[in-house]
Amino acid sequence: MTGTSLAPAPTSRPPVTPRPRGAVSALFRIEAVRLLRHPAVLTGLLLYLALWAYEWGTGGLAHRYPVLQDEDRYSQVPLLLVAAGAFIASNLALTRAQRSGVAAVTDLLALAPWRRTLAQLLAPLPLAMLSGLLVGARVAHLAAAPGAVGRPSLLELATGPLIVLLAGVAGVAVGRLTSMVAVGPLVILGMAIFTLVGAVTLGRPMLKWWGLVAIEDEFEPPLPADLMHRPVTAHLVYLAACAAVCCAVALARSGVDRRIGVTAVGVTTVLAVVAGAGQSVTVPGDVAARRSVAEREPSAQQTCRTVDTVTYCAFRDFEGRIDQWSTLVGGMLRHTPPDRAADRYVVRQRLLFGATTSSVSISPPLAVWAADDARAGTPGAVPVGTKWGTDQIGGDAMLSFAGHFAARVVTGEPPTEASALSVCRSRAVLVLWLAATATEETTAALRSLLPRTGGSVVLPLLDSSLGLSIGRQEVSVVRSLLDRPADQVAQQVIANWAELTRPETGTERAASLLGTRVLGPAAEGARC
Amino acid sequence: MSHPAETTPGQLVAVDGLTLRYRRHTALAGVSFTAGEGVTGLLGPNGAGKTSLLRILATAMPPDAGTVRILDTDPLTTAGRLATRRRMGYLPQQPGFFPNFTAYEFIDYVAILKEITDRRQRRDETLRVLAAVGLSDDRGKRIKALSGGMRQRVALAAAIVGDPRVLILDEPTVGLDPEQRLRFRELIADLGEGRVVLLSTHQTEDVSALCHRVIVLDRGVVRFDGPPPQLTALAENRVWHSAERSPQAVAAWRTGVGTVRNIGVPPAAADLVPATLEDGYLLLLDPSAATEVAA
Repeated sequence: MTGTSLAPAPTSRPPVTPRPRGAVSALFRIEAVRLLRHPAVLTGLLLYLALWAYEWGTGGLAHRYPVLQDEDRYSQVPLLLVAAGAFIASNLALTRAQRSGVAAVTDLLALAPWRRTLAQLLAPLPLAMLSGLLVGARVAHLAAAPGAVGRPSLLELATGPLIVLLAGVAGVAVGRLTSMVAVGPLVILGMAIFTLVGAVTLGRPMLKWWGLVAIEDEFEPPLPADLMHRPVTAHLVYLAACAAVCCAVALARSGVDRRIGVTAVGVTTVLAVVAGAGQSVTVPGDVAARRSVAEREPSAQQTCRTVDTVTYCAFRDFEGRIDQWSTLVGGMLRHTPPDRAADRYVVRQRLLFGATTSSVSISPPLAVWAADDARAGTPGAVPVGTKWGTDQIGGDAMLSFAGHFAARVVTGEPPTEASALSVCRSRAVLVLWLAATATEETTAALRSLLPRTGGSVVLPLLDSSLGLSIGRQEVSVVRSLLDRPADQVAQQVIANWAELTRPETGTERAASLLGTRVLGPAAEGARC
Repeated sequence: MSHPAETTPGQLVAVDGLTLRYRRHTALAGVSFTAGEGVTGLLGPNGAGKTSLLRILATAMPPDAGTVRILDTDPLTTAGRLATRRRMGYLPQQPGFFPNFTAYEFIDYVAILKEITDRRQRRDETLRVLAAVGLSDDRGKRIKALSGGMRQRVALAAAIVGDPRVLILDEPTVGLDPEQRLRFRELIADLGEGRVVLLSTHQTEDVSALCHRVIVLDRGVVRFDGPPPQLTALAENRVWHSAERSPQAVAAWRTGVGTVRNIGVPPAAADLVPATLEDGYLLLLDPSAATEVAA
């Protein structure tokens, strides 16, 4: 019947030496593996990878211009999927014995319940480490993109994995408070709502830091890393303190000495509250001072590089962007007469704080910038912002820069109120066509912009109130020109350059010179 | 007042004056006994206090009064409780399982909770107990895919992992078909060699077949404590087969061969037949016969 004797073990068999620590370690390994294999965790991981694969597979990454000091925090939101999985899985693992009735036996075994809880609190660690690897791999992947600039923050990268760990231990703590399965999803729903509220109440930024992920206003232009202010260290301490609260609650409910348990819960809760309150969102004075200098006199902080006839000056974190600016500028100068292409130009990266958040459009400090350019020996520089890309934010910024550089070439003047006003009629057609045909991406950006503007186009300078306003008629001419090969149009542009760039040349004349015609009437109240 | 229970050589479990109350209901009323190696049966009707007694011995709950000594330790103290748990296996009346674990994973998990931390030793022990309960071939199956009898064997394997000196089995054969019950009897008989096995059961056949000693509990009181033949002897010369049911019989039922088996007072024209342990048990628990049996 049975293949093995059930008689007591022979005395030669080594007795089981009680080793509670070793048992915790063994249990941790088993629980960690089961957690990694749990369907909820696997679903979270697969969704994370699917989002990444989708972005990769659809070519999204090939046309991205990642700013790594922003990408580091973008990595946190997709990890919430894994965190949710970790919460559910660890909660179910903790309540498994109660739900299945095994507790009637396991509670009477040698390993104390608090040691079992300890093993389960440790179990999410490998998943958190795996999440860290995923985040690292994703950022490395982004960093390998040709258009990547900047440097990621290790603290921001560590936040996502810590959230996963926190979710795991929170699942254990909640499981120790109640074995009701329905509580887990409710807690996740609550946290999702809290995070969402934090995201949509950006006007009260403190709120978001009490949640898991502090989402920023992504319409804000990227900043050099040393000008950023996010209380990441304090947030990490806060998250760690929250994890400690969960651990203390779970252990206190697992039969550790009552006095120790209550003290641990009290101390960690105070720590979490203090750490939460310590997440100061007020920009410190030194950062504000550095931002002011960077906005008004950035030349001392920038590195310049000359490509062909154009000198590009960028903040150190954005030096990699020079190649993209150069490609765009080269694309425009290729369509201009050789003498204009041979002129010396300067492009300088600029910051303009408050342009996107202020309810009133702000004017760029052009005089201050001109003085800074003069001091740096780069007069007449064309400003370029830190936004760059092919989406509706970055693409518009790319087209705007192209427009302002084209205006510099066409008018011979750097961007000012007066020079912007002088881009009318034929000049407007020429500026917009040069900008749109600079690269395939600027062409696409214009095509994407037009449905949103009702026919006319405004190309703002760094989101400020100063912009090139291109009327509906001029835009219609450019649209028709875009249907023809750019090189063919370029020959006509170069041949008629002098007349096309004269302020008094009309739109119809420009259209005629370029072999097309004006469609539709001018907009009422048009500036030009 | 009860004196602290003490174990003498051969008596590995000693219980003295155990009392337990659930509000107004007295589950145990001064239960005392000792037990040594071998299988000790615990018989009694529903509500007799068997499960309460076993749960106290298994350190699941403390008594209101009385003392317990198991393997020279007092399980009612913190240190003694841990020491007892390290040397005890417990199979509750309704053992739970992790349905998504395989049989191997479940036993391995229990082995860890019994602090068998060396990986090789744990694997060997897990394989040993699975083989012992005849589940070697099914060790990779998820528990939810196993039959009721196989699950019960998994539960027994969980109880014996770590080779405990004391085994507490609370109605392990409930719900098993006859073949599975026979198989379990063999297992439990083997387990009784060199160990203290306390077996709670409703099945008098199990006691006859397995136990060297039987304790009958009724309404929280020990009504009998002795070898099974002695319990059987209570019914000697008091069991008759007849054509009719005796109105004065303690128990009477028509057997498969058509005659009526009467226990206690015989009817007219009855044949005396040999008594069984069940006859003795029924006679013991009948209030009208209790005085007579005690005498």
